[in-house]
Amino acid sequence: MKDFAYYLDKTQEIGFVDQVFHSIIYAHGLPHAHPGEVVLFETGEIGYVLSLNDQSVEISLLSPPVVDVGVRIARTNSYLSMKVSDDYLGMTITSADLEKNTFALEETEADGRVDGKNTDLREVDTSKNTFTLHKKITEPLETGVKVVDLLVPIGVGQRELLLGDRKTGKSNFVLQTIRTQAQKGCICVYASIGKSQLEIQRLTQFFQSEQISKQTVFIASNSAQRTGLIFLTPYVAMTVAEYFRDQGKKVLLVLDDLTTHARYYRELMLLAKRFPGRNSYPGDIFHIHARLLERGGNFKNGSITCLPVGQSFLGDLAGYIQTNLMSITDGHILFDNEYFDQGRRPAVNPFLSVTRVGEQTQTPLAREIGRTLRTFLADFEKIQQFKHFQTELNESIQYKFYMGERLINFLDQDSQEIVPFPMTLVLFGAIWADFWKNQPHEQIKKYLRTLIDLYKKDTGFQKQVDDIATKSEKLSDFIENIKQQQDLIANNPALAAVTPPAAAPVAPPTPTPTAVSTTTPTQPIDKKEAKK
Amino acid sequence: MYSELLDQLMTVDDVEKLKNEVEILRSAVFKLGKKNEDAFEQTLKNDVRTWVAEAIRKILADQTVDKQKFLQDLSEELKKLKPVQITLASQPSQALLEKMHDWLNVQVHPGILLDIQYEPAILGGMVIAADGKYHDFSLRKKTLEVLEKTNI
Repeated sequence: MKDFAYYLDKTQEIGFVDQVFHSIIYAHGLPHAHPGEVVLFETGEIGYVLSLNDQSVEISLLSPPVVDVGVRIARTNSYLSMKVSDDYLGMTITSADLEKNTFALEETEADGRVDGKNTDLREVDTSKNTFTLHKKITEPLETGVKVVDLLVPIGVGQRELLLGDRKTGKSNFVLQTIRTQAQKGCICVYASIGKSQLEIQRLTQFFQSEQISKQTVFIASNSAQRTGLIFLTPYVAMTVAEYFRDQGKKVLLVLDDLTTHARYYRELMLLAKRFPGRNSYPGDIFHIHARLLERGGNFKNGSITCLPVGQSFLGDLAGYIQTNLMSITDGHILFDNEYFDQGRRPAVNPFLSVTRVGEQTQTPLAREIGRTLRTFLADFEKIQQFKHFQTELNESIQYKFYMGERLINFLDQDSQEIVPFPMTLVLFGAIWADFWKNQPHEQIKKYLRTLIDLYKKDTGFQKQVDDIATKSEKLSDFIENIKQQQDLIANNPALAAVTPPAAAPVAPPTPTPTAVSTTTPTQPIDKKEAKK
Repeated sequence: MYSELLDQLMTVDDVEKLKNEVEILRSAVFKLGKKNEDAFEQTLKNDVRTWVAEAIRKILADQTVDKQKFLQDLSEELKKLKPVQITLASQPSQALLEKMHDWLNVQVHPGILLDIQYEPAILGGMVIAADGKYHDFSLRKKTLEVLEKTNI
């Protein structure tokens, strides 16, 4: 970075600090400063112009030291930019790195590159019109989480909000998705916004330990940093994502989380004496998120799948920021605290989750399975109130209870577990066809886990499973196909290791022969029948 | 009305001194008691420079001038004066200061104040910063330019 005298001489303009108000600085001078422009203090600190009036310039300070009144300021005549390169892969970029090394003010060379071939100098907060470069979302994005891949599918280039209370498994889901995508060669950029140092340390260890570091960039701002710097974190992450997108790569960008980001922006704007609007947020809070997320999407050359995280409070989805984010994104996955309390992992509520473009990326079979499963689970939820009648219920209803519990058990998944999508389909088929009849849930889980491990290790088995998953287009054909492959799935020799000598069966009702057909579970419940 | 006072001001330091004196006088005006007049006169005598006191006495001799309003307006007028920061390589003489002040007030804008900074590193010439504009007419800059051109 050039020094203070260089910029002073270049722009021939000077300003002086009048007032220091936390991280906001008011100065006079700098007659041609413009909003977003980087300014340099003679003591070495960096700031950027927030707003202007005829009396003073309002500057957000990015550097930690306190600036004194009277210190000279120089314009740089450039927007906040940063160097981005392939070397970022595997790096953890913290706030200190951002401030010292990343925010670059060097003069861009004629070809737009600096310091060699693979380094770009890019504006951090830009809003270029890229609408003409967008293309339809057609490719599914595998998360490795069964309930999401089946019921709330995400497409490559989609912007899907992850919404839920604190500690409901949002971050676990995000890490599962990153592991899945990184293993597939996708570039993953994770922005941790204003989190504690402990949390940042934990995430850093995760990225290093999972052997995926060569595919990931971790950008973290500490909650102890300057508010202006925390505010810029998601924009920095988006800039990094755009760099890889422009190389034609698929990028997964996680912004964790934007409600915290909004809170920091509110703090910054209240310090700057902006008029507070709803919940004391400034009037442009929607715009700052919309202009960020508009930079994601599926492009003719590369894609940025954006997963912003939003935090709700006591399950309230109607919060200001939450509804803003819902309206900006292409759907949301809701992590329900009630489901979490019931012990469901991941606690995704498929009925309140929305995916606006995900289904169009699915195969006809996956789409039909998703719809069938959703309808069945909706029916299962409805008949929960009759559960206490137990044996008084007819066989059809009892079977719905039995199969519903099996499916819930099937959708449960450890935070460390990743299930490839073809395996998810085949395992669903196995459950739906009622393999392992009357086996306890825990035993079935062991079988599922063993088959998933086998899929990852045995390429022959993997190929057979892939064939089954792609062979059929209709659910009925698929289930028939699965039944024919019972030896491969239910009686696979690998399961012998986890089969107990004499597995005690659960006490479910004996399913009727029709119950295992593909149509019976999807039929709506007859209310009269239910009343009996 | 204020010209007698303002014409005497050349540098930012002068203005700061006068501002302080005006503030002291304003607080003396608001002192309660029958001896208000004496308190103000005593402040003029003890806490204010002689030439300032004389100029103020002269203005306030006119009975139509309100003391409180006069001091408030004077304070506002002082805020309007525009400082020009001039960095020199050596301490300027009083004669040079006066010359620069007179030239700027006639040729550029009336009511300009000098904010003189001393910086030997500029070698010679001057660096001017005013109203957000910055111009480096120093010998250091010229020397560096010449050295750069000649690749020395």
